[in-house]
Amino acid sequence: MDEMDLMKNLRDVPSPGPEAYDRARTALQAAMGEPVATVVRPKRWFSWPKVGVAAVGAAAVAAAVVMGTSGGSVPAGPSGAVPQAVEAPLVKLASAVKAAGTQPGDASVIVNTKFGLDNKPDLYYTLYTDKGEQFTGDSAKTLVDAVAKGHAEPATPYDGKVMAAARLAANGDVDKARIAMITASGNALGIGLSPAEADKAWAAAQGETAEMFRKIGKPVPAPKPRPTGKDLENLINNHLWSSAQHALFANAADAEVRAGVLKLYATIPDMIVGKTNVDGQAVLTLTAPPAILGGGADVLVINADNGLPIREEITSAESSQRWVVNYKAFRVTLADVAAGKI
Amino acid sequence: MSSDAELIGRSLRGDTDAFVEVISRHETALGNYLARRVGRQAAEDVLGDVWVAAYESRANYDLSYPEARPWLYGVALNRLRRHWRSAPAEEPASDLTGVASDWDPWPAVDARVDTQALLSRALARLKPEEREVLGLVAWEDLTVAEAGRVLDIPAGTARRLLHQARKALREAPEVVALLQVPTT
Repeated sequence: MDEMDLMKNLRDVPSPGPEAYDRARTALQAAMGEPVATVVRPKRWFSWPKVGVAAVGAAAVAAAVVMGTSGGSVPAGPSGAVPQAVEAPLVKLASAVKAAGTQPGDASVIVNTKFGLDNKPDLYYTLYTDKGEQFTGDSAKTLVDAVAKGHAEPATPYDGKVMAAARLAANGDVDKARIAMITASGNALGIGLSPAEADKAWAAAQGETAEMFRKIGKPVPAPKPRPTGKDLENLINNHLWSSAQHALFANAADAEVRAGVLKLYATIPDMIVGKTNVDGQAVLTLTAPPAILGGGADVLVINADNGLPIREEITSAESSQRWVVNYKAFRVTLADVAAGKI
Repeated sequence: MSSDAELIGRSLRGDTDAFVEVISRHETALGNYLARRVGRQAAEDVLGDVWVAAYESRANYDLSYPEARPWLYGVALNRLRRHWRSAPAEEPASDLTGVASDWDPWPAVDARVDTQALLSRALARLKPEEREVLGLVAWEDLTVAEAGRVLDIPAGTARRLLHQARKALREAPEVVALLQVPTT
């Protein structure tokens, strides 16, 4: 079992329907200037005839891999209540960030330098336009090339949801924004659902997991009960931390997104916010509570004056492996980047 | 049986049925390729554009390649890029909404709840060109050289991208956790 096997087990997706093939043939024949004739349908309509209902969700997630997301639903409920755990420094900074506004330009760039297990630096550029398009590259040159050629990537549904949740938080409704951020990647935990609906959502997620285990040839673990109490709160805060981080690391130079993420972080109980200096600049260190990371550690370092991310240090709980990522975020105009000015 | 290249050659000489035969051979694979990338609904929307684009650009087909599928994937990818550019910004894809699934980026939290989503997140962090080569090889059963053909890059570059993608995946915390799940 290796990473390719995992990949191959996610290949099945619902195929286009027969009518879509008919329409496509009709479009082709029109383009060829031919009268539309009866079409011969392909022999197989579905690439996943043997999989059950549970796998459909998995397949949709697989399809969403490239898009980057899955759907989600539903707000409100007891877990949506907003604790104000570390309000003072982060909310204060969020207000200052929002008041300062976004720098001129029509897009935000974030450069991350990741140091993996071999400690070799790995550069990655992401440009997120104010219209929601993304361009990426592994160097300034490849980013410039992508922009110049118009090779935008889709703003995925997940990107859209986390950005919208962050903006909602920045503009006031932190309670709703918190739930929107928690459920941006789906709602297997049943946040805001009735107990019956939540059980159903949980069972569906468990079914997907079981199907995945079957596909990769591993024994299917016994179904787990839906988490409750502290376990549930930890999972909720884990999703909040992770999705807010996704928004920050895609579009940090957008002041509204950044301010919203800071406000949402301020609602995570037991998060430790420290003050220190890094390379001569005042910074805040945001240490996620280990309980929400299953014992792992994640420390985010942001500029104390403008909230821009500077560095992240991640240590996994089980293997104690450590990853470090340095960040640099700034505003640009697409025209400048296309002209090579970055 | 005629090769795809022969059929495309005949279509250039006016035999439109020959081009339809090429499409018949590959439409299911192409439909699934599109669905894996943009979901079924968007794939259905784009499919006709792909066939028309392929027909209109068939004069550019390198007839030294008997098998047309990698070329068709390349045409499809170009159409997808246009589709992405023209799609409303930050608009959830309709076919992906409402899916009850979940993910968790931190393996120790609950890998067994979020297995598929863990892999999804690890894949989402790959560079686009790495992800594309990986998808073409793992999902579309293309060789690395054929993946290079799709992306219009040399086979050596495609091989490097595949290597990088696999390495990045192996080292991703999510995949480390998935591969460590005990088998007994």
